[in-house]
Amino acid sequence: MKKRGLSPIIATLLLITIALIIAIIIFLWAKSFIGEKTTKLEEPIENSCGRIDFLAEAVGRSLNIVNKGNVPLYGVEIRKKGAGTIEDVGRFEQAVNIGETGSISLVNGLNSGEEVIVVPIILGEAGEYKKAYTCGEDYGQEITI
Amino acid sequence: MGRNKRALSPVIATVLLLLLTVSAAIIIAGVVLPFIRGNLDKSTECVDYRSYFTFEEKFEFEDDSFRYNCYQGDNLYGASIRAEGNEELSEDIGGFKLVFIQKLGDSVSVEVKSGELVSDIRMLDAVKTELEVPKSGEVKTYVYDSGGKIYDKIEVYPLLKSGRICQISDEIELIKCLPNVNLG
Repeated sequence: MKKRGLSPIIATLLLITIALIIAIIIFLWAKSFIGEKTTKLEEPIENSCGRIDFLAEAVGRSLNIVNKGNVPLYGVEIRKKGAGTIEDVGRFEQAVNIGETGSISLVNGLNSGEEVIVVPIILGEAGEYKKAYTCGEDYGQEITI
Repeated sequence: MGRNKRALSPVIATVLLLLLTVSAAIIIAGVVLPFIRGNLDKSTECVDYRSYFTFEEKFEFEDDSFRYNCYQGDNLYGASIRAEGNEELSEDIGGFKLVFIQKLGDSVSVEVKSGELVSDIRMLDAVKTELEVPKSGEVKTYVYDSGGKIYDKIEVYPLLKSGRICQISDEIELIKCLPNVNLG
């Protein structure tokens, strides 16, 4: 009964290869469930929101934005305040680079004397793609039109 | 019955085994994985909505501070709800469920969905006749008429467009409304 089988080396190699293939399959499969985190300068984008420093001022029907910080602004989101409500008025993708001043023409639906919150939008990276990220309201500025 | 039986050659046997393995792998990849993924998607769809809706405890407006999560008289209850998260999350939100709870344990729930009319609940802004659900970053305040029942706490649960009710997102103890808040 002299049976021939796989040599121990080949058997070990086969086992390692199978384990690696299974690990790769599980990794690729699980990756699709975990959403890609938006980052900026290789750190969570929320950290960049904390470094934003800008000045918003309403002049007539325009909103002037001065970027005084060291994070470029990709745009702003404007939210109108009322009694017990905060409503999204619009999103303005007007880039304002560091040290620059930008101007946005305010849309209809905003009246003189109304309170608005100007919330900054910055650009981050999600994997290979660029992605706009709206910072929290705490990083925004409240102004009166 | 001779003992000299012929069987499959080792090469054919190995090829057959390989073919069987590959077929099994294709079947698993094509049927089992999508099935598991579908179920896993359903079971994890609420994960991002754990704190999507929060009660706006303090509302600053026109140099004054308001607390709308309160009760006025014996029947009017205010609930000021903020939607956190981003626009992508807002797309799958169908509304929310408010649960008013008594200290003794009794409770009542009210579903709020955009564009609907519910007899017991309305927007604080009386001009708006239909209910509106706040989108990401927005705050909306609602007034619930309890019909004389007294409640002590409110909980909010996100409702997804898929019909799923997610776990509690936030809760708040109710206090008596201050004079600067009028729910009437």
